[in-house]
Amino acid sequence: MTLTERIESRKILILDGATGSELIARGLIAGECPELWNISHTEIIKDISASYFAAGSDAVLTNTFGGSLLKLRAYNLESQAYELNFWGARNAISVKPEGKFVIGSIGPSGLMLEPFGDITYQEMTDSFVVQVKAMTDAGVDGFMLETFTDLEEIKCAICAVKENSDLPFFASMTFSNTPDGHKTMMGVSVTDFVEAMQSANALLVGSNCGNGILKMIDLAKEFRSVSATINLLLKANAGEPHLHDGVLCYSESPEMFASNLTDLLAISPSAVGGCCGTNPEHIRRIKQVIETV
Amino acid sequence: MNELLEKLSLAVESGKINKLSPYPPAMRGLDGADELCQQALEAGIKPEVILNDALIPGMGRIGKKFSDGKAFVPEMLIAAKAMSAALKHIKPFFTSGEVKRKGVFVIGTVMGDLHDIGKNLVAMMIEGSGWEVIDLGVDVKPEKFLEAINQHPDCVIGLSALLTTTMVNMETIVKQIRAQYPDHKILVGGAPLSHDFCKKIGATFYSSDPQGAVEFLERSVA
Repeated sequence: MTLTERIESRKILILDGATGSELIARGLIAGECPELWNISHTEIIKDISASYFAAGSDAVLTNTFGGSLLKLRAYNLESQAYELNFWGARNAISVKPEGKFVIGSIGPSGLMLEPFGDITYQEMTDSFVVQVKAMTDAGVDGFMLETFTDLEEIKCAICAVKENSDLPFFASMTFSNTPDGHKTMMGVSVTDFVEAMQSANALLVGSNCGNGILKMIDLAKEFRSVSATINLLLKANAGEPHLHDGVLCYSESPEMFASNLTDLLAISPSAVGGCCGTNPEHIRRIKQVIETV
Repeated sequence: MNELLEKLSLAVESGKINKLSPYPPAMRGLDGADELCQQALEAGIKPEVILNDALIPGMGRIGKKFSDGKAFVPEMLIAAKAMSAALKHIKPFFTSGEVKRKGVFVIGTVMGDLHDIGKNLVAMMIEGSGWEVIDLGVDVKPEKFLEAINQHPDCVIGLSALLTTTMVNMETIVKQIRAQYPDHKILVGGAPLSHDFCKKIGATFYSSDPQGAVEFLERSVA
């Protein structure tokens, strides 16, 4: 079954939880390039994907969130972009059980397009092309463009996907609440985002990260009010991070996450998972709740 | 108020950098902050008056809209660019001492973190409100901040972090500063932060938006 057929089957796709916080838990130091671990710590990367598949994820994301040229440039790893993305995909694929999926993660550049910044549309698009090519070659089932905040930038990523592969893609932005509804940091409304992604033929449209499952429920309702028919993707983080005895903790336990999931499921998402601070236990609980509903 | 100053203030608020800049579309072809500031000086308006009556209020209005969720990063960035275009005409008067800076603000993104959109915004806003800003860049180690305090004992320190993984490095930096300078003013900011976090790591002040940082600095010299 292809990823598109799986989504069309109307059965909820269970995604994975966080990659970044799992890497930190396994020794990644802040300031290290996470994508470099795709070739330097392959067993750990495979282990993270395997732990999500074991917990019940139907699809896991590759460790390639920052694998664009513009992101890797900051670490002087631009020349290894193809390799880091290729192996990022291969690590996850190597532990993928039959019938499950691996989705190539593509995150924003962290830089601004003209006229607000100095990156041209061409540079921005090219920065994503290498990710798309490498992961298509490696054999991913689709892409997830995640935590974008600029509609023009996500369009560059979509161009890169469409011109270099035939694979489907999920589009996800990160929103916060404002007096005029939810907006991204760049001022994109849910309506603008949904309309643009429908015309771009995104397989799933939604949001990840943000500030916990309760706020994600409010946001999901706004997505639903904009469109009753879109295939919605929701990946909440485990609440706001705080310090506890010098260690960074997230406020939402797997239990808390699961106890609010029914409200999230009432909005009829097509795919759910977790973002920062969520781990395989969150996913196991999500699966339990979905199976009992 | 003087008509020129009003226009300049609006150019800053709207992000109209200069006559040639295409943004905002509604102001196409009009003079921008660059030209208007030059004209104000030529008209004999004191640089301090230009700063206090046009630039700071213009930036303050867009900053307030941002805090209220009615303007977003692009509008803020382009307004800050317009502000900088005007400020370059005022800078010689700071150097000559005719206009006094309010103080020195040293800012950097903490070690391990390479994100600078937020840090740059805050730096531009604070520079625009009349402070000398020393930008230490991204991935800044504690020693660099200590060195800056050594050189500018009265400076205010600003720490920025975007990632939950790097915000913990703020604590390391604050601790190292506190060990030598227990009462030094340290501002912290960044998406994953909170007042609670600021208090726990022993920083002086947290603001969820740049305008809050500007206002804190104003109070600190009042």
